[in-house]
Parts: sequence; structure tokens; C-alpha cells
Amino acid sequence: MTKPLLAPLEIRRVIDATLAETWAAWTDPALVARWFAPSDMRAEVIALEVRKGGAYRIRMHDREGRDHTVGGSYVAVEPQRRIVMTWAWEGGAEPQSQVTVEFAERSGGTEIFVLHERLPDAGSIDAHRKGWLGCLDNLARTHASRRAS
Amino acid sequence: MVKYTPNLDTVFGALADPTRRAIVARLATGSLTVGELAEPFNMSLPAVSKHLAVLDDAGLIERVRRGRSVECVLAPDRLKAAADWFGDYEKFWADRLDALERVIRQNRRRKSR
Repeated sequence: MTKPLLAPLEIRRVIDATLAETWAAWTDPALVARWFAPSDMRAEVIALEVRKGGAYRIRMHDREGRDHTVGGSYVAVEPQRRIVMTWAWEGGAEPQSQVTVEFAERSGGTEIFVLHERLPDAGSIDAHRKGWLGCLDNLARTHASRRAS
Repeated sequence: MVKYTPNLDTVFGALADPTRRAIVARLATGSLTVGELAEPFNMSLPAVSKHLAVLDDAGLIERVRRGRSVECVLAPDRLKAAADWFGDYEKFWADRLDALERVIRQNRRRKSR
């Protein structure tokens, strides 16, 4: 039976920057535009109203000329401490998820903790995912090349 | 980049079972009839058919009737979507934080000039 469990994704990282610099990187549109898109895309910050209830909208242009726009609203904003925002791709089938970012001063820099949750998942898959993701990739590739030949 | 087909829950659910993963793995090398698929699993045809129905519902395979037998073909698009799923977000955030650190460093250099 499919269990629509929540398998949150967590990333914790200490970066060599002050708390103020790190906060600015998440809240200043000019800065966000410089790091938010994957390296092969260009980010355009359409909205970044960093306050509770405010909206954000970031469009990413890929090399093939396609746009991928992610957006949502800020559920909670505590300056230099925490941002909670909803997350949804426009035109995507993926349901809305939620991203929490926490900031903390640490020796040697600032710790950023990203929690991406309410992602649809099938429970037990989480434990196995590393193992079989590679397999699935290979399978899909094998099949595609077999079909192409 | 992050493009998802609906009902990935169904896909993950279907793939959570080892027998069904083995079926998918075998179909990756070519289409097989239900009988051929049942053989190595030491399973009855109805039991295999049940697994195939789950894979079919998830959009992972297609069943095509050929005369008296049913041939199973892998539908790789769904499989690819499932494979991309977690990999994408994990990589997305890890890469983004790398880029964020770079931007802060560049800014600092610019200011200290």
C-alpha cells in the first residue's frame, strides 16, 4: 500500500560568512538572483517580499529558452534567525511543499539549515532511495538507448 | 529541471516491493510475456499478474495482448521521473548553498577593494 508519508530533506552547512551577510543573501533580491538558479540557468527575482504573508517568485531561464518559476509565500520570517516559506513550481504537478531555513552563528561562520518538507513520498523508499536511484537511472538509460537503436 | 509527473506516490509505492523492482529490472532489457516473467520468480501466473497490475497502474509498464499471451513493456518516462525525484532536490539545495557562499565571498572581495 502506498503511504503518502513525509520524507523531509535536510541539509546543514556552516559557511564562511557572518550572520548578517548570510541573511542578506536570502533577502536581498540582487543577491538571491546570483545564487538561486542552478549554474546552467539564470535567475530572475520577480518578487521577494520577505515578511510574514509576503510572496516570493523566482524565475529561472534555462539554456533551451524554457522558464521554470518557483514561488510561494512566507509563513514565518524572523530576521537573522528563520524563514519558513511555501514552495511550488508554477505549472508543475508536484504539490506545494514547504521550506524552512534557519540561521545560527557558529565559530567559523554561519550555519544554514534547510528543511524541505511535505514532499510526497512513499515512506520506506526513503531508506532505500540512495541504493535504487542509481539503478533506476541506469534502467531508464538502458531502455532509452535500446529503444533508440 | 524540476518537472514532475503526477502520482509519483503511486510510482514509489509500486517500486517499494522487491519483486516488482526485479520485474522492472528484467523488462529494462526487453519486453517479456507474463509467462516469461513468472518463470524465475517461482510464482504463479495470477501472483505475477497482480504485481504487473500494480506496475501498470503506476504507469511503469504497459501490457499488450499478443495472440494468446500478454507482453509487458517498460514505460521508462515514469521511471525517469521517479529517479530524478529526490536526486534533484538534494542536489538542488546542496548546489545552491555552495553558490550562496561563493556570492558572499565575491561581495566581500568587492567591498574590500
